[in-house]
Amino acid sequence: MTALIGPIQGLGAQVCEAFTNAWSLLMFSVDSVAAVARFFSRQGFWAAFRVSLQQVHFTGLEALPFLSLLSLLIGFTVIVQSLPQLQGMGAHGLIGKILVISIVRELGPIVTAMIVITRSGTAMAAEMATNRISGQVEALEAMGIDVFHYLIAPRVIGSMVSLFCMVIYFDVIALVGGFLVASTQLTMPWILYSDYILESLQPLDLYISLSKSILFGFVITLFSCYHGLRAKRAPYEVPMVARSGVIQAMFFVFVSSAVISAVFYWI
Amino acid sequence: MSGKPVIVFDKVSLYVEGRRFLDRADLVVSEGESLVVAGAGGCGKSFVLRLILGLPGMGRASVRVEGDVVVDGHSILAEPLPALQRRRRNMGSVMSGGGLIENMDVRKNIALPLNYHYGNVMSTAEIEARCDAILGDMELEELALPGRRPVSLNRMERIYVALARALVNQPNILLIDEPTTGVSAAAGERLARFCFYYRPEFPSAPAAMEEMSGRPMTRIITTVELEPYLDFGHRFALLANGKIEEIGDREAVLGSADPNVRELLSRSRKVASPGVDDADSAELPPGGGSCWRRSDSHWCHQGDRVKEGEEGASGRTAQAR
Repeated sequence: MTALIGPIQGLGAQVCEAFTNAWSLLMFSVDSVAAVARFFSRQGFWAAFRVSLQQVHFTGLEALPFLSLLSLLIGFTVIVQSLPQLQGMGAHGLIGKILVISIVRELGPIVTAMIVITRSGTAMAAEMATNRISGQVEALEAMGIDVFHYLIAPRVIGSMVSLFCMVIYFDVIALVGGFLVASTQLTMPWILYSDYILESLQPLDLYISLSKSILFGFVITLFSCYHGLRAKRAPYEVPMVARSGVIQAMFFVFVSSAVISAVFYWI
Repeated sequence: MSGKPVIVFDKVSLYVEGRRFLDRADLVVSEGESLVVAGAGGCGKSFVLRLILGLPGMGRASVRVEGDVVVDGHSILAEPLPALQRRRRNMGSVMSGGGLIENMDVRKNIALPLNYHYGNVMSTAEIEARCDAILGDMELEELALPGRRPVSLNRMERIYVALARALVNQPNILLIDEPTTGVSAAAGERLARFCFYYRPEFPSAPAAMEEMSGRPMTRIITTVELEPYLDFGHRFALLANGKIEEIGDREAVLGSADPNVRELLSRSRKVASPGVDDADSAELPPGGGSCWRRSDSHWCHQGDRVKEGEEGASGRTAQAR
């Protein structure tokens, strides 16, 4: 009997901890949303706005070279893989459909989110943890600075704006990569290629793709900052909280992407 | 000091992660008073300052507070966060190590409270002028070079920068946590003078700031060693076993038979060093409110025996204080 009680107690404790964490995350999310809502109205706007610009610079602009290469290669690879099948069936016209479905609907938001998680999410979690451990967060609080307004909201807004722009940029460059293959393999002119793309591209595809980008920007920052600020005192916690933030953000991005796609394109 | 009480601890008990730091502690600090709270390392002195700021815990540590902490007539522990944030604007604090923002250079660190709270009513030039004025008074202009980050500062410079940041928006309560720990005797004395006497003056201030900058500044400084502060504090208190016991003024400290007080007194760091005459230091008057005045080129204490025009070789010493 005693042998059974131990594991059950352990399981119960884990369930309780999971619920506590989920509740804390929910409260953190509510506070973050409230801070974003009052971002433009509070007196600390200009100071927080500068943090937002820095976040856009770090998350968006500095990632552009890598994003360019990756999107070009992905567009290139998608067409390289699908073109032999299309040529075999004489269905060149489907090239636009394939690119829109694979790149605009799915790969654009997902791949961009992965880049932001690995580059900025880890950095944000580590920065928040370091701020917490070294007493910088408390120094801000002691100065009467609203930590959610000054630390979290600018990062949330900066990441959302960055991801929105990055997804558009990714789609455009990936489609250019696809065109490079199409033009060399099929000697397809740009006019025809763009016609195929525009025929296949529905407004709903754009809305959903860009909505995903905004949602991902929000949750990546949320998970990163939440886990970063959970650090207590020791520097060894920094990589631990960064890892937790990255894993949870990735999990949420994949699950929410699948759910959104299923809801709008399948059900 | 018989001014109106600005900080009142009413039977405050504080437990952090199950450990008791304060046990029904009482404390009254009057407006314009300089109080030194002494105690052994780890006895909870920092928590006294943190309670005044309404930050009883440390990070995400579990905290339980009983009793009441009243600042300016308001219960700091019961106030909603927005009101508390407004109240903290009137309090400057220098936490252990400075608490500087590491990804900002020194100038931005000092300007941060102004940029955040008064960025909509103060121009960048006004904010910059305030930073320059304070660093100039501290003779630390070189720290304001663009790109000079806190990581390149030594402990004493960090404390000066944190002090500048605490004073830049002219608070009426100043809380400083062990400013001179780990600093040499001569440098510590100069730093202590700034902590106790210095109050920057600026040609103009936003209306919201003017209201509080006209009030006398109340200062609370914590320490593990009493002797370096004997000449500065109005009143001394001892934190031991969770109680804040008032010792009294300088004479009361020197005459105290309490073994804890004797122990804290014996931790003397007063070592004669080049540039500081020990005899001068010993004869300095006890601190008295805002008794620094500005001469043509520097701030000096009213009790300084080095008169204007007599600076010469000893002029630097007067400035260094």
